[in-house]
Amino acid sequence: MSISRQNVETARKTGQEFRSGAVPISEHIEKTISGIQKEEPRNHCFVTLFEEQAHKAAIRVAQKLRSKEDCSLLAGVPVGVDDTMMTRGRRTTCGSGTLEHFIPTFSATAVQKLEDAGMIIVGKLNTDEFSMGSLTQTSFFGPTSHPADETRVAGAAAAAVASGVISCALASDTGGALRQASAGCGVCGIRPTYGAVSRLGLAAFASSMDQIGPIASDIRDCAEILNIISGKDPCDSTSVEIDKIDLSRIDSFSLSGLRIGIPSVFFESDTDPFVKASFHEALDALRSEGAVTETFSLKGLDQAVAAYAVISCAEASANLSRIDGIKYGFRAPEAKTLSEVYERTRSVGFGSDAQKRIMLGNYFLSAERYEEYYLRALRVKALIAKGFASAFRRYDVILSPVSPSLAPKKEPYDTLSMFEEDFFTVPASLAGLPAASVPCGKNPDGLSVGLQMIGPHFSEAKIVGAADAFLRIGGGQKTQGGQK
Amino acid sequence: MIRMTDIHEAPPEPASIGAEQIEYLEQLARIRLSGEEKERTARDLSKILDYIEMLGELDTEGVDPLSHPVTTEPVFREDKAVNDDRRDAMLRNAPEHKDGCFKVPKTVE
Repeated sequence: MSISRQNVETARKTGQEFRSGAVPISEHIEKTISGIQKEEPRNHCFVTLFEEQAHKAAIRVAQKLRSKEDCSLLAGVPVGVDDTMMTRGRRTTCGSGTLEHFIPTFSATAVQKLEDAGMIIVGKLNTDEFSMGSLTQTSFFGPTSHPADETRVAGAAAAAVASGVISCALASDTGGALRQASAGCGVCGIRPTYGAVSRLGLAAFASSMDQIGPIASDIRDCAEILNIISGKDPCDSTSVEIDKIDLSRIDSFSLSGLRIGIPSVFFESDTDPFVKASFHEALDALRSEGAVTETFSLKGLDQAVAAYAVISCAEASANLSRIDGIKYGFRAPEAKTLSEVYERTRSVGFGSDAQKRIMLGNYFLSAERYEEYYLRALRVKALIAKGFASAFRRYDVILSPVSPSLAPKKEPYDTLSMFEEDFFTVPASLAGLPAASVPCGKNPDGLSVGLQMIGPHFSEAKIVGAADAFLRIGGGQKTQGGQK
Repeated sequence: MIRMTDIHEAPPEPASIGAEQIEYLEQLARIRLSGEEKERTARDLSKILDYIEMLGELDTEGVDPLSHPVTTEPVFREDKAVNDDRRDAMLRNAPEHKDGCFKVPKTVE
């Protein structure tokens, strides 16, 4: 057990200390990096540390602050970045053996925006191979350990934040990885509306659902980071301009009268009893503050995971065709002909889960199966999106647990059960909706449960308001005894 | 619960992946599996396909497929390069390169 959260300051407070001159940035960065190095052998959160670059950046940002240059509130704050996002001149592996030594020639827009805002990237966080998974089980570099139990897995961005070595991170979310990671480690995370954050420089897994978002122990830090990274990017034609979240208005957000919808299948699902109890307690807490809860039925939710599996594999098979051993990354050394280069590189380079998903994707997109699987999945997706749209005429937010189970053990995984773990998270991904994960319970062993708050497109401010109000009433702070 | 067979279109063949199909998929995916991997993959893929059969339980007649959930306007830009020249940096990532080009084995006999 190595959680020492009480010493962790919010990113905003750290930024304030830099601006006031109370703490020198270089010193803080040095402390952060040695803290990471100390915890790494146990936690295995980072794939690469940018020690030298971070020190240089610290000096640069400190200079900017001294000369009163325009800097964000988070200037100088150390941040970790999921290794599926490109960092110019600094190794980016995507958790894959195919890119073990890859050095990007540009930075992801979200990464660039963090650095423009003066945030300091201290390293790259472990990730499932090309994001295919949630809790680093498929990473080429091995899984990240859960902060509370070394025998269990965790999403690296959330584990690093939960263990206190960094206060915030950028993660990616396709079917729910960012939310799953946050829930499992008892921290906050927001998957923004599709298009709210540019995907340029995020290694494409399933392009119609991939999104970048923040993870932090504090929901307001998440909002602050989202404000930095969001917005239209000319290099991602699906990105859009969104209103920044006004943090000064969060205090006045009231839960009284908040209309909460809960899809009825979410109550019927096969969910861990502790997760269920925590979810019900969260609903009780919200109701006691005057929120109104109601169950409703949303057509297609039962089939959401199946639709997600089809669509994500189909898109992954197309996106990962670029891994061919020609332009970058690993090439199988023994290949003699061009087609051997392709085949051997992909056979040796990809992990078995990635291979299965690519093969499935090819199957779904093959001429004889396209209609039966791919188009049908897109129709289910349409029904789900429509269902949400009509539900949001009646509800402000839709709630569910984030994961049906507690953090899994480090054991051989199974692709189908990984899909099933995303039962609560894929609907928002399919519909492109923003969704936050906020802590709503912790069992006696320190394993956390997350509450998912889904809102209409571009309702990030409302979700943050509701999440913050929920946390203010202590929704996420209590440790439950496991009864109820 | 509606089963696949209740739907008025022709019921699809049982979704299980055999040895022949695995080879076809290996070809499509440009991935070669060893004998043991082939068996395990066939088993795993069949399990996933079994699960996915539930897509047929939902009546989607007349529903238009949705590819992108958030509609945006078509985006246009000038057809003008804005990148700086990063050829050397890019080539450094290539497994093999020669004279400023990616090098590949002989492609034509």
